[in-house]
Amino acid sequence: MFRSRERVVGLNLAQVLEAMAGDPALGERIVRWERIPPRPGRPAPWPRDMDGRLRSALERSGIPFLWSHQAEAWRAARSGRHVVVVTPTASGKSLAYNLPVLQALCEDPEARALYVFPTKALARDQQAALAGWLEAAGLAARVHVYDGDTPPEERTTIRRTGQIVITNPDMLHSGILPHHPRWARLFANLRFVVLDELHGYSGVFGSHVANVLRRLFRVARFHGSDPLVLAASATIANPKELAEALVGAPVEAVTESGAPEPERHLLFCNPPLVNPRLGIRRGVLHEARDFAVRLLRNGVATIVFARSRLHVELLLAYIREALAAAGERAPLVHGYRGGYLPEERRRAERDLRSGRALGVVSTNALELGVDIGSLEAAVLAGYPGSVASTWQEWGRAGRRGGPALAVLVASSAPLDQFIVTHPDFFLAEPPEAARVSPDNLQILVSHVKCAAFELPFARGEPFGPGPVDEILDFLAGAGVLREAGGRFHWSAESFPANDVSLRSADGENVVIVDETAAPKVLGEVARRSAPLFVHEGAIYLHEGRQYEVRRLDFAERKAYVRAVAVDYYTDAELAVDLRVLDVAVEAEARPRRPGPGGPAGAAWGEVAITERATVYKKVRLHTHENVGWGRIELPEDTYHTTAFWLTFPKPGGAPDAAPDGRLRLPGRGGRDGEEALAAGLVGVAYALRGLAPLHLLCAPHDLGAAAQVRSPFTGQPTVFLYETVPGGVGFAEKLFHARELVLADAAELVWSCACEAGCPACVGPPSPEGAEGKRAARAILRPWLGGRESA
Amino acid sequence: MSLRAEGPPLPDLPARFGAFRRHAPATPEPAPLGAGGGASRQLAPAEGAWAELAAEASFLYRDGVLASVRLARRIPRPPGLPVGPLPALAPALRPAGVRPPGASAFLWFDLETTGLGAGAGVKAFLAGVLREEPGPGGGRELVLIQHVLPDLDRVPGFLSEVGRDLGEAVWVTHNGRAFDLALWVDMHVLAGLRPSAPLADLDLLPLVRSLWRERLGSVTLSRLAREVLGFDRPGDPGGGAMPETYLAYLASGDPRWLAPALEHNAEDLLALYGLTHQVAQALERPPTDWPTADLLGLARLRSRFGRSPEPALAAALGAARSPGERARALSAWGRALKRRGDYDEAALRFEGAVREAPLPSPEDLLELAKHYEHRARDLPRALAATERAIGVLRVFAAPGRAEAARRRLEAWDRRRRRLIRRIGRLRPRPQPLPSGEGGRPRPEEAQDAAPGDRLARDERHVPEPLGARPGDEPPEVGAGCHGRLDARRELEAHAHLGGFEAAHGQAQVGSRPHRDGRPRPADDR
Repeated sequence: MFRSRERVVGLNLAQVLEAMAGDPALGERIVRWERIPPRPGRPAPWPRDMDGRLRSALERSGIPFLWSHQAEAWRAARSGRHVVVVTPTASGKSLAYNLPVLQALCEDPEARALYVFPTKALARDQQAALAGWLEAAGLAARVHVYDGDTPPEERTTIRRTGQIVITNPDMLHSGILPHHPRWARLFANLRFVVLDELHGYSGVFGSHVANVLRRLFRVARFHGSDPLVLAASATIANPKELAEALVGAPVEAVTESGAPEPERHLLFCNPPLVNPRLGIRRGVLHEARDFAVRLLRNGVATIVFARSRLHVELLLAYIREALAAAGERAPLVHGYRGGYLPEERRRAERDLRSGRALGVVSTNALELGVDIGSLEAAVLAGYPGSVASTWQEWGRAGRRGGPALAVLVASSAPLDQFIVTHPDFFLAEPPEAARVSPDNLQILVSHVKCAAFELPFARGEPFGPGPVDEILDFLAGAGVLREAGGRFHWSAESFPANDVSLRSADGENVVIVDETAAPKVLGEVARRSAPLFVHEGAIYLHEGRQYEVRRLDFAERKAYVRAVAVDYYTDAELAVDLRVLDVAVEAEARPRRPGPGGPAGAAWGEVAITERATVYKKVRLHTHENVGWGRIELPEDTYHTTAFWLTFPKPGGAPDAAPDGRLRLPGRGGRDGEEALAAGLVGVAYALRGLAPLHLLCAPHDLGAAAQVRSPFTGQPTVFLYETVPGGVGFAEKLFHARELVLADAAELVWSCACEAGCPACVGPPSPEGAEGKRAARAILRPWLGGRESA
Repeated sequence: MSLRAEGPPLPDLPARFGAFRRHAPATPEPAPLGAGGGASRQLAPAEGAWAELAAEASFLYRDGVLASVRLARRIPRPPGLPVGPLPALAPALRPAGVRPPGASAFLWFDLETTGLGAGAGVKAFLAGVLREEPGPGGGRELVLIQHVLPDLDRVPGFLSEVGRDLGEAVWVTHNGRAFDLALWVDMHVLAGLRPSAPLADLDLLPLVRSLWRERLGSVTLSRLAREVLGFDRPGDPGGGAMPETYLAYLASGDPRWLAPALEHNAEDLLALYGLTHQVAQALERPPTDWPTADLLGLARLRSRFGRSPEPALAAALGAARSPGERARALSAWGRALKRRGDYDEAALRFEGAVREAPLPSPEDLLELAKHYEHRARDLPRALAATERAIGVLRVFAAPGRAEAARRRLEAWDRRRRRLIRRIGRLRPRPQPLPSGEGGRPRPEEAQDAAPGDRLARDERHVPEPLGARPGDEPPEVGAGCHGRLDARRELEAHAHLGGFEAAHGQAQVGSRPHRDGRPRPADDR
């Protein structure tokens, strides 16, 4: 019965595709319809050294052979090499790392394995799968999940007897490693560390995870084991490099998938221009809604990815409304994002697996391998910010064979427009590199503290690539460590792991309390985002429902809300101030051809960013028109981070800017040259910020941009790209090294864009005061035009 | 005899250790000890400063470095402390089945640590061991040994030295299973040593919890010392201040910073020692002067230890100061008798409990219902008890436990319907009792009673004289059974049974003397 439903649904998708192909309204939107033919699999024979119990368990479950990448991973692991498997979604990656573990358990019942998954949901999925294999192979070993949801009474047993323990980096960091003596049996017999979704360990989070792994290997060595790493990753440009940076040792990469691939239809959709002069296109939310509703109404199981939590909520509400308006029996569609309570997420997963829910609107939270069963179509409301994420999100469709449809709906953002107007660029572009900077000082110091808590440090003992004596001396000077008997011992009352949150530099959350009836916790929001999303008067959206924030108790980290029904949502504005604290390196940004006034300067260094939420707009649902505003009275937030900046020569005769040097968009008193320069710098900053994520594996929101006509620090017109994560993770330095390439791309973008005076795809929409912006930006960037070819 | 109220006053235990406090520096002083100021400076044993902390200080070296400073003192056993037969505590030992050879096989063990939580970076810097030894003149004497970790790198030697003072014995701790012993093992694992293990361990926490948690709320050692043993610890800085004292010692090298920690540890050990004897004594010979709540805890503990809870229950009934306390004691006693198989006696206690209670427990009523149905074979009374249980549960089900209450209600309602069917088969429906008889409330009284008045009215509830004949009172069949009734009807149904049960009381059990030695309710008024 289940099968027949699937078949019918498959037929529907084919019909929907046919109808879409013949729809002229879609024709003008779909700028590219790419069909990727199905690909047959490449099987490999059973490894000779595989235990008979394991092989027959596989055969009994309908696996007559391995795919080539599974066999390769097997060979690497069996010969004692760390390995990372890099193949698409649903290619049997988990089996690739599970088989060596199961084999080890066949050979040695005392063997232990530690699985690290980035999320709890993945852990529960994998537990069920592993338990199935263990049972099928007749192995007595037990598999346990050890995370924040594990009941206290089970924890002792798991510590003593758990053979396969599944956890997440956060729990490993604060719940396992600091208590390693109680895990002595696990660590003494630890044969494997399994890391799934490795590509997710990039940027700040990845840098933390690399350090947690350093601590893990250090503790394992202490207990006498030297575990092998089995990793799996989505397709990224540098899986081997990333794995080696995380593991701190050579890793063999298995990158050729032997699994068959379904036929895929990739649609690049650019919403029609509604105002060609201003470059304004139909909103991405409405466009994505229309695709989703079309698919859902035809019974096609669909996942919609939105780029922010707010967009998830708006899209969810719009889709539900449209489905309800269409009459019939509207299919169930869930929302899914961070900030939902775990039980809400589990329910959505269950409903999707069972087919009770036909659709889901999610942030990138569902990009990972959470088991939500078989979906046929993926609609991306906006470019996810990276080629890797795009393929990962597209891969959510067509998990169980059959045709798969993936739609990318471009927003007006420059990056989206670049991708959708250059689909060849996208299709040819290798996925981005994932980068970590585990030796980022702020991150490293916090993990040296944790490591010293776990085991005293010897002077000269390596942690990562080399010794960390300087840090140890610094910590001893601060009284946190005490050097005695040639070792640095933890000598503070506190528990250092509690002070380090892996997910962001500030792990604090504001809890959202619904006071509509008896008070209950509705969800949470990161403390730093709280002034934007749960300021007093904000409309907070949750599962498509509206709540008005009545009171934000910032000191107590609580926001009190009540359910309301209004026809608007709120959107807050953030004022950002930037000050340079220190320069790391300075150099020239050499142009391809000399520009007026000499070469530009480039530098990276430490800056202080002060953020303050100032006002919020009330925006009417659907029409997105502005219907009111209010002030936000909350304290400002200052943090230190790293920034990359470009200093442009002052155009001849351009007057100095405002006395404080900060960019003032010129008003009535401003002079023409200055106005043009200011608007041009803003345009350059906009374009650079939009393009930089192509060069770094980061989300657009990982970078902020600022422009100063006469920077108090450089004294020149300056454009800053700064990291939004406190401390920075090395993006600024990388931009500095890629400065000429980034400038060339920006020049290309701004010169090739056909808009008149700026648009969301290049220098940003023209503002009433800054009609000169695009011309000025072109002038600033002109020296780098054509630089990509020569670079 | 109550330690709180009578007997010779306990010696002022804090004063016994006052010497520590006298020598504690009032303000941080420059490090008087050791050479150089480097963090790795080898601590030289400054014998003079350590000697101020205890009469007998020894400096134990391993491989040429100071591994532990061992402070020892003998303390006369405080005469006011109870003496309990410690082997009575054998059932609480882990591993189970260990038979301690005698009181001399016990020692009391308590660690002070460098951090408040757990984790590999938390170390015990002070290990206190208290033993009982034969003293001069045939008395008992306490020997207190405290080991101080001289510096953070000395853990392996320190553990070995402390281990020599522990040995094969029963280690008594307060929350040791979760904390002290777990930390003890962790530190050995980190030091690469096999931990010295006790013959058995006795964690007093679950015991004191069952005895005193209900009445005292908190069962910290200092609270128990004050409330149970009767000594205050006015100068005690509390366990939370311990890490700080050690860090101050490490930073300054001056052992006098440790004085508050040594004192706190000594007082904890003495409290633990006194409580162990108190618990053992109570287990052996249930006291008659404890409050009912404590005695009920003691009865539970005795049951858990395979002893008869009844002496403690009798004492609990004797100590009861209110009808509510009497009802609780009777109810617990009923349960104990039932477990023993003495169903008739059990029923008497349950009846007593129902009579006494301001708000009868639905479980007691149900026990009675079962008894009436299956043993006394008095179906109308069984039905009445069931209906009253349903009524009480409906009106007073604890919020948040609605689901459990609903399931019980369903089960009880099945019982009720079965009883009605059986009664119907046996005889015609009984006629209503004339109003005003048998405790049925006058209509206006019942109508005035809102749920909130319930307790107030029941405080005044007076058991009816026993003597009416069976069958005089009709069970109000519909009450509390058909869908949701309003609170007033529930109350009516409830109040109704009071009369009914009383009406039947004497014919069934009223002629027997009360076994609990207490005056019968009729005399009680």
